[in-house]
Amino acid sequence: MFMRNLYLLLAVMLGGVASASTEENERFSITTLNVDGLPQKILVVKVNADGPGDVGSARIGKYLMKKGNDLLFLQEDFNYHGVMVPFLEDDYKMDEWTGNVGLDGHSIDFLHLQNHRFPCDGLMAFWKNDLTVTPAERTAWKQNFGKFSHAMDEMVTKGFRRYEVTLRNGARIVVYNMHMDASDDYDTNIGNDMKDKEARMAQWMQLKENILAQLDNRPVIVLGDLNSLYKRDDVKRQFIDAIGETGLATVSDVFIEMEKGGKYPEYEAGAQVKNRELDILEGETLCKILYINPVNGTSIRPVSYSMDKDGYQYDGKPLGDHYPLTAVFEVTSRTVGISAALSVQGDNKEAVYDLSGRKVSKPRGGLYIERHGEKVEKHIVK
Amino acid sequence: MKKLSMILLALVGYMLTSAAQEATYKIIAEADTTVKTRAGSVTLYSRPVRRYVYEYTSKDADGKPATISGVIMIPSEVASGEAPCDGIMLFNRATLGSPDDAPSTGNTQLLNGLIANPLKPNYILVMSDFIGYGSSIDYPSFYHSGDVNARNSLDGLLAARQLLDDNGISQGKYLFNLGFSQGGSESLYVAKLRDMEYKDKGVTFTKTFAGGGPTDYAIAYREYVNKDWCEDCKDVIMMMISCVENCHMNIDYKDLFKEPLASGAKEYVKTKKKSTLSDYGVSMEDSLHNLIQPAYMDLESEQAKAFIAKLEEINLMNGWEPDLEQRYFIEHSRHDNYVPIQCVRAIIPWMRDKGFTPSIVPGKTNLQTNTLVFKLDHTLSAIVWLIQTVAAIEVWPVMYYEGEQNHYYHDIVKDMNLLKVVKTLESWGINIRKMVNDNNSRSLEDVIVEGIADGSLDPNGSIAQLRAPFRASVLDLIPGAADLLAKVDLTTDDAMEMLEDSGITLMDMLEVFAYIMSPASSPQVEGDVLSTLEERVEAPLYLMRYYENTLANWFLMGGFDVQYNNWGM
Repeated sequence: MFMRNLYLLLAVMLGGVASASTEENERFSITTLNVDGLPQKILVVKVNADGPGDVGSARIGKYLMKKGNDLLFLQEDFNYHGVMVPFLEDDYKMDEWTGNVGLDGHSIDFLHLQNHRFPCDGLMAFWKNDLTVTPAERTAWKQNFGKFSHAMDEMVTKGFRRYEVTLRNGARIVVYNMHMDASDDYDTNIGNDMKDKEARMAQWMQLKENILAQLDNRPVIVLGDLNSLYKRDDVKRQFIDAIGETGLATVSDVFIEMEKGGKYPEYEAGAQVKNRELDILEGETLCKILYINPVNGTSIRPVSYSMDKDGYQYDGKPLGDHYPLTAVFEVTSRTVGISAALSVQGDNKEAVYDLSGRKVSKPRGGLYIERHGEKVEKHIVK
Repeated sequence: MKKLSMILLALVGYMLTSAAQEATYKIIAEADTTVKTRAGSVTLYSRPVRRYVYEYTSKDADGKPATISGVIMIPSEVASGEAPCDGIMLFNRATLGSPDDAPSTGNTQLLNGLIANPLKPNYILVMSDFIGYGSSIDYPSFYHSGDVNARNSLDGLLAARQLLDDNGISQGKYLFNLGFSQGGSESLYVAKLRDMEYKDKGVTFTKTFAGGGPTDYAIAYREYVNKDWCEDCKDVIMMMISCVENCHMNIDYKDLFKEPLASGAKEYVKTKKKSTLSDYGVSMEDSLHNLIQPAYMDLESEQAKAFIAKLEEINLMNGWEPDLEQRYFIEHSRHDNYVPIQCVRAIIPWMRDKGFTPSIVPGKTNLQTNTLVFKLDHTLSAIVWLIQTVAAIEVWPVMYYEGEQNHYYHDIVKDMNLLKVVKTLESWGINIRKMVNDNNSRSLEDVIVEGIADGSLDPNGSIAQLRAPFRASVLDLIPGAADLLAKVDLTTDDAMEMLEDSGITLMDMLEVFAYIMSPASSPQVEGDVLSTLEERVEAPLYLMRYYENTLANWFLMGGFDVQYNNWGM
């Protein structure tokens, strides 16, 4: 219903259109990593017995420091944040850490444990000191599945964070970092992860709505532990293609584009794919980096992509249960002086926002792209 | 078209009214108050609740509408919406000593005050007075008389649901049906009526917890007569009077009871007070033959046979085709001094025949049975039942998620059997095999061969079908076992029956014997069980034990001199 009533109105003000910047082709590196930071044990209960723990997390911090990428986006940064951060403090600014999972500092009602949910999301961002990043908007998933089983997603407040980043030459991008609902191998093996998949797909839809509602002329990078595989999750059709079909933007998975020639694995309804292997399906992992270029906006393109299997290890063993993914992007075209506005219009309401999210009056005139369900119309308002 | 629409609307309106009529209620009293769990005069725990006393329509024994009263207790945090509601406990009350003890009067004792315990369950308690008490005081009471109270309980549930909906109070996901003693028996009648009638009215129980119930009145009567004794003779007399009154048996009390009881029976029917029986000479410690006429103490007499035949007519199992998807926990102490263990010994095999697989392990099958409780009288076994029931209900939302058993727990219980229990004990340092082998000169093979030869062991039969001398000789293989049983007032037959009723098969038993008689130095068959359990045990199991221990400690602090871990889980 929300989408049905959603009018996306992208106004490119005719008077504001200027030539492309001469400062284009700036490059920046961006990394996503699930740092496997759940505690090894809570009281007598083994939670993440084979996780990196204190020592391993310190090694992860050191690894990230040495790599020195511009933007770092982490997931499961829970209990070992304190040992990882010292390695990054000098070179990076950071986002707000939302806490650990365990007994420290938490009031847990053991008599009604079913009602307990740790407030933390485990998401974290670090950016080089010379970059500008606005404080993140944090959004919890509306739908999850699993409390004491099914990967226990509801024990923490999983969701996504949205960042607005200004690069060194002034180009602006938006980044979404997230951790999506997981499928437990136990359930996957017996074909019992349908509701996990449903929750995950609902999260993709929530993400899509959020992106489209705020889409302007800035490119968007979506990354994190998406717990999704194209073979078992219908992400290609329902997210990537669906956004493309709006006519507002194009979406691409960096791994697929750079290592698979743009060919996505076929989705198979009911496919059972285990999670555990770090390199799951010919290089495709649960973590991903996607990028979205708005039509007529600033655009970026990946120039390199890597999953660092060799570097992310100690004594022959991986430092955590996910490998870091890193992409280097190049800003290929940039709109300068362009004012874009987005209108979200309900049945009887209309609101128009500028790039900063401030409510403004109706655009004076320009090229409008209006979406009515599946129908897209373009027209010029003088 | 307009007319058609009007007719349709009228029909819909009629249907809604009809549906609403089935669950109409009237609130008699509503208060934010405190419920107290009491043991005698001692308050063990108290908790703020929103309490409704309400009336609703059910039926009397003749199927005519009757106004029944009941009580709904909602934890204050749930009523105010501060805490989410986990579900409803439909509690079937135990025997009342007087109409003054009816739930709607506000009198809460140990069992029906169970939402006031240290675990603070966020469940709503729904409890009927049953006919003959509260608003229906003018009707006779139905003490062990079949389905009447069960219908009162279920109609009370439907009305309570409506009341909760109307007051915007969440009912949660789970619906438990429970009771102990008379309530244990009633809860099974409720389950029966649910399967046969109220299933279609949207009633599905998450689990029924029945403890200490006289689930077979005919057997109970025979046992009382044979032993000429019950811990409280008044209960036997009450049962007999209720049967005479409600089953229209047309028996003159002078033929049934001796004086002065015979003259006082009608007075008891009127007052419904146990104290009335005392007034007419019935004391707790009486022998039954001092109260009951010889014809009814002779099970071979025509009078006794007719009486038993009537009790069998209202037997729980008559006309019940149980829904195998419903879950049960049935518990009974071997040494229950009020309700003979033989009652439950009848229903377990019947349920097995209907398709259930008994198991003592919670959640392994839909029929969890525990008859391994021993050395506990009726009251103390009520506490064991209460601890296990309350802990199980409390942990349920952790153990089950969206109707699915937590797989960490499922993995533990699905393969759990007696042998694994023994191995776990071994891994805790109790070297059973060494104890056996150091003191035994015979082999299991010898005993089995002899048993088969003399017909006392049927390898395809059950534990209950074992006969002497195999029963004794197999037990003799474990040094000190017979002495140990004697110390806890159990015979070999007792032990065998307890194993059988708790879902242990003959093959389980022989497997254990084979294992414990193997050399202690030989490698264990399946590795270190304790380590395996540690690897696999997750929050739910720890939590259940934590809850049970919390409750057990609470009772210990309350003055009950018992040691929970010695009660036999």
